[in-house]
Amino acid sequence: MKRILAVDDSLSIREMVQFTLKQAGYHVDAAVDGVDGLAKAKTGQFDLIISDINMPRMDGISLIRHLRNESTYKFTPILMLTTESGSDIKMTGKSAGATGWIVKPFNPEKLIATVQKVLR
Amino acid sequence: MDIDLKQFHHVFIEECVEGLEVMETELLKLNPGAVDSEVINTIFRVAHSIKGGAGTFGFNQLTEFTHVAEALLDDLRAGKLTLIDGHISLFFKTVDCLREWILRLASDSESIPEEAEALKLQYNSFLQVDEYQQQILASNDEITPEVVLPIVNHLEDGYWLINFIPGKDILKQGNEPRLMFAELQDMGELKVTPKLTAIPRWSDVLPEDIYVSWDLELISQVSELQIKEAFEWVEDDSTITITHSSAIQAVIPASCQNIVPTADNKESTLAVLSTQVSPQKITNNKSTETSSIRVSIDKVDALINMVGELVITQAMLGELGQDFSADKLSALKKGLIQLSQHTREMQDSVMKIRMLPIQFAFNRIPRMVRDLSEQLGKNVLLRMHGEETELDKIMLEKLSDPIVHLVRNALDHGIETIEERKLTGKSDVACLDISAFHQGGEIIVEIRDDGRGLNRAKIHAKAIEKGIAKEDQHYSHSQIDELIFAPGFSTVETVSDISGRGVGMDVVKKNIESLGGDIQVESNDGEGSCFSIRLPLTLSIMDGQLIKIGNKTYVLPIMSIIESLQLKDGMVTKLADQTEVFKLRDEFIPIIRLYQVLNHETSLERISDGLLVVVESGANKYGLLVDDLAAQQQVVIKNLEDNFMKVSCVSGATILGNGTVALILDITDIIKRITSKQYLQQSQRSPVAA
Repeated sequence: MKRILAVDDSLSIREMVQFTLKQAGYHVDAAVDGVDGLAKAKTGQFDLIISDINMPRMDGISLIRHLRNESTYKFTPILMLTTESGSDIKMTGKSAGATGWIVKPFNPEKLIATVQKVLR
Repeated sequence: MDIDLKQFHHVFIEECVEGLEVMETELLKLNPGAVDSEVINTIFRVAHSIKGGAGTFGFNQLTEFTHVAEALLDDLRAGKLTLIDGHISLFFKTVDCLREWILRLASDSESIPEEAEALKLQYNSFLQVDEYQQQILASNDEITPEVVLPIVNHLEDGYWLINFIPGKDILKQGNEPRLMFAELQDMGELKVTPKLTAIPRWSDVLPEDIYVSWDLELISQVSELQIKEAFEWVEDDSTITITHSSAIQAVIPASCQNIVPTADNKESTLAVLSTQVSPQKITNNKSTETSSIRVSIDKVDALINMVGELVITQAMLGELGQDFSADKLSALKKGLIQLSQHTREMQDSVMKIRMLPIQFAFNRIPRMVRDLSEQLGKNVLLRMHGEETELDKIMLEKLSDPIVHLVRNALDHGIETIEERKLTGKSDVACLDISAFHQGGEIIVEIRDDGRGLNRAKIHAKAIEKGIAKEDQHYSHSQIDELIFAPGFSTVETVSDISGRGVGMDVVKKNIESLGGDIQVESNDGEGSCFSIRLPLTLSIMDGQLIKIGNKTYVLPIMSIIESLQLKDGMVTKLADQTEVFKLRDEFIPIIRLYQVLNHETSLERISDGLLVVVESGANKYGLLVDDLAAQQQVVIKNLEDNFMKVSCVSGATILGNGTVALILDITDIIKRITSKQYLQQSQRSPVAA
C-alpha cells in the first residue's frame, strides 16, 4: 500500500484529506505543521507528501526545502496545497523543490485524481 | 467515489471557533506603533485557514468574505500597507461577524450576517480597488475551473505532436516524465520517441539532471488543455510544443491510420464531463448538535490505564471466588481494597475529563475590557491570574455570564474616568484583576478593581426607596454591601447600555447559587471593590467525613476540614459575648456547638467528651464540636431543593452504604448564621427571623 503524509494545520482539512485518501486505498499519516511533518517524514518513508503552505512553526516551503535535503526524499513527489491562485507562490514552491500543487478549494475527486497523477 | 463533505462540517466549525479566539487574542496584541510580524502572521493564518476550509466544504460566500480580510492582512504582512487603528477595529468587527456566521452555519442556517456586506466595503476601501477586483476574478476562477473549462474547449479528434524538452531540474522536484506519459497514454494511443542528442560527455553528466527530450505522438479525442494539464507542473521549466493537425495524417504510420476513438473512449470522456458538470449534491440532513469536549490525551491514557488495572483486579477476585475457602479471606480483603482503590482512581480520572481550565470563561474578557474602556474613555489595565485553574465544564459554561456581568459593572460603575482618578490622586491607569484559585476544596474567582468602591449612602437610600431595607434599622457596612444582591435592586437611574441590561446582581447571585456556590463583595471607599465567587469543585461527588451528633449522622466536606482534635477541660475561654474560643497554635478559634445549631439532643456533658473539627471558611477558622467522627467516604450529592426544599445549614443529602440518608452540612452557611447571630446579640437587637 502506498504511504502518504498529509501536513496541514487545519484539522478539518487534515481529516478530509485523510479520510478521502484512505477511502481511495492509501495509507495516510497526518502532521500538524512543518516541524511535525519533517519529524514524521524522517521516521518512515512515504511515497508522497502533501503539505499546506501557511502553517505555524515551519511553513510548507521550508518543509519542502528540508525534505529535499534528505537523501530519502530527494525524488519523492511533494504536492503543496495552496489557495493562492497567483503563480508567485507556485514558483517559490517549485524552486524549493515541490512537484506540483493542488489548488484549494478542492473536492475529494480532484484530490484523488491529483494524487493518482504522481502515484501510479 | 462519493464522499459526503458534511461529515467534516462540525470539525470545521469547531476549528473556526477556536481560530477566531486565537485571532481575537492576537488582535489585542496589535499596536499600530510597533507591529509584530509574527502576530500579523498568526492572524493571517487563521483567516487563511477559514477561507481554505470554507471553500473546500462549500461555503463559498464565507470564502469570499474571508478573502478580503485575508487580502488586507496579506498586504499588511508584506508591508504594502501600514497598520492603522482603523484596520484593527475592522478586524475586531470581522471576528464578531465571523463568529455570528459560524454560529449560523452550525445551526444549518444559510443566512449571512447583515454586517458582512458593510464590512466587505470597508475592506475594499482599504484595499486598492483594481487590485481587489483582479483578486476576486482570480478567486472566482479558482472556485469553478473544472466546471467551466471542459465545456468551452470543444474536443478535437485527431493527431497531436508534442515536443517535450524537460527542464533539467524536474527530477529533483519529484516530477517523472514516465508519469506524465502514462497520463497521456490514458487519453489515447501514444508513441514515445526519446531524443538523446543533448546528452553531454560522460564526465559532464550530473546523475540527478535530465538530458533527454522526447517527441510524443498522441492520437486521441482530447483538447490541447487536457494535454497541457499532464505537463501542468513542469511547463514553466520545460519547453513544450503542442501541434495539432489532421493534415499530418499523411505521416501517420499505416497501423495508426484507421484508429477511431473507441466507444469506450467516448463514453469515458462523457462520463468525466457529466460528473464535472452535475451540480453539487445538496444534502439536507439536519446535523444534530452535540456538545463535544476536547480532552488531553494524558487524561484519556490515565483512564485507560485504570480500566486495565480494574480488569486485572476483577479477574483476580473472580478466580478467588471460584473455590473460596476461609483461609483465602485475607486475599479477598486485599483484593477488595485494591478494587476500591482502582474504582476511586478511575472516578477521579473520569471527573478530570470534565474539568477544563477556567480560561474558557475568561477569554471573552480582554476584548470586552478593550471595547468598553474605549467606549467609556477609561484607561484600564487588565490582569488575569490562574487561568489554568480547572473547573467542571458545566460550571464553566454557567460561570461565563456572571463573570462578564461583574466585569462590565466594574468598568462602568467601579472604575472612575481618567479625570476623576486624577482629582483623587490616583494613577490614570485603573487596574482590574481577575483571578481564579483553589482554596479548601473550592474554587474562588475574584474580580477586583481599584475604583471608587461601593457608594454605601446611595445604596442604602436606594434600598429604602425600593423597600428592600428599613429606614429605622442600623446596617453594618457589609450588610449594606449585601443589599446590592437583593432582588429588584439597581442603583443606576438611567440604565446604561454597558451594564444595565435588565440583569441585576440578584440574577448573578442566583446563577452562582444554582451552581452550589456563593458570591460576596468587599469594598473600601475610594480604594475599590472585590467580588469573590466561591464554587464547589464538582457538582456531583465529593469526599465526605461522616460525623455523629447525638444519634444522627451528618457529612462534612473533607476538603474544608483542616484537622480534628480533642480538647481538654480548661482550654476553652469564654469571651464577653458568650462566644467560646480556644487557642490553637497562637490562633484563637471560635467554637460552634453543632448540636445547638441543628437543635439536637447531645450525649456530651463536657466539651472534652466530644471532638473538635477545625474547618476553614474564607480566611477564618472555626472549631465545630461533634460527638464523634465516623468513616470517611465518597458521597454522591443529592440536591435537596429538587426533591424537597432549600434547608438552611445543609447543602444537600447523600445515601450511605447502609441505605440511610445523611445530610451534608454547609459550613459557610452555618458560620454565616452564627456570626450574624453574634452580631445581632452584640448590637442588642432582637434576632430577626431567618
